Amino acid sequence: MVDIELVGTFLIAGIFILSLLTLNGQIMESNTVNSLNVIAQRNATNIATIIQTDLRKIGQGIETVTESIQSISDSSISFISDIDKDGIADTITYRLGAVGEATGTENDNDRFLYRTLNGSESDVALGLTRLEMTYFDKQGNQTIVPSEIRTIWISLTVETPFYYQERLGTAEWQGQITPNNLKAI
Amino acid sequence: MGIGRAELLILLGAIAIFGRYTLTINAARYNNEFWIIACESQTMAASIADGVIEAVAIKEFDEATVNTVLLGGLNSLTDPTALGAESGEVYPNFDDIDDFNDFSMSDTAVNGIQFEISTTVGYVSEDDLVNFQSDQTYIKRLNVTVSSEHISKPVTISRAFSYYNY
Repeated sequence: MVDIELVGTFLIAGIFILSLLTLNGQIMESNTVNSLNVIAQRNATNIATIIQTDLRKIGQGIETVTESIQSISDSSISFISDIDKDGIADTITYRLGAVGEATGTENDNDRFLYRTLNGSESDVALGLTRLEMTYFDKQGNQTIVPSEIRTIWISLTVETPFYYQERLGTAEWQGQITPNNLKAI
Repeated sequence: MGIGRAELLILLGAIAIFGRYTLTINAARYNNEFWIIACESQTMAASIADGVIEAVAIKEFDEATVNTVLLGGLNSLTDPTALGAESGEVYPNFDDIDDFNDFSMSDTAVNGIQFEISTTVGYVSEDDLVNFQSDQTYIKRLNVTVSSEHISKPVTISRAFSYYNY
């Protein structure tokens, strides 16, 4: 004869254990997604630091400072600066790579950030999915004329290269840079 | 034989413990996500404050300076009680540092979070770069405070601008 109390006990205990396992799974998922977000935030601030460090030196050691920014677009900038203070002007370019170049990652949208120093290009960061640069003149009006640029507004989005259960870590950063050499002209 | 009172009490106790455990876990998950957003917002607030300082850095030292040169003496600088935007000057077309005194605005960051920005400007001395002076000096201090409902404490970043750096 079936012991109804025993069956009931196993049933209730089973429901409890299943619930606990589900909860545990949700905790793990939540922790992993949070970790991915933290990784993305760290990557975003690192990329921002890389860009800020170089862009603050625009026009460093250059006589005609207004000509130090050579070309711009909404996701690239090329400028001259004696970046290593050796008395010789260097040409530096930052540009966002194309979608699909980062073949070793699961994320289809992440891109490389490329830095070119005197014609030699290397990727300095990975994980960017968006990079926007907007340029302003001394009066604070938006401009596309390189010689009028005094302030550069940067906004970027970083995603983790890998998914966890179809979720990515993301982080956004925005900032404004006024290169020291462009301030007082 | 039915379920006895003792078994029923044990079952109720187990449900209560499990319920409490679930609530604690959910609170922890909520807190984790809250702090992740707070962390990103704090970083964003700092960069917004820094951006305001960078934007102010290209302005003239004072209304009395022309192309960074002060034509009169120290007393020709704006009176400390009159610091602020002159009549007709509207952001973003401020022309000197102290136009940002007692100025406030809202800014929505790229992640959709709204920030409140407030700035104060005053004269400081070389001996005390923190507290505003009641007389004109060749150094102005800009305090930028950025707050948001997503950050527990407003972010304040300051910079002293010296006339001699112009």
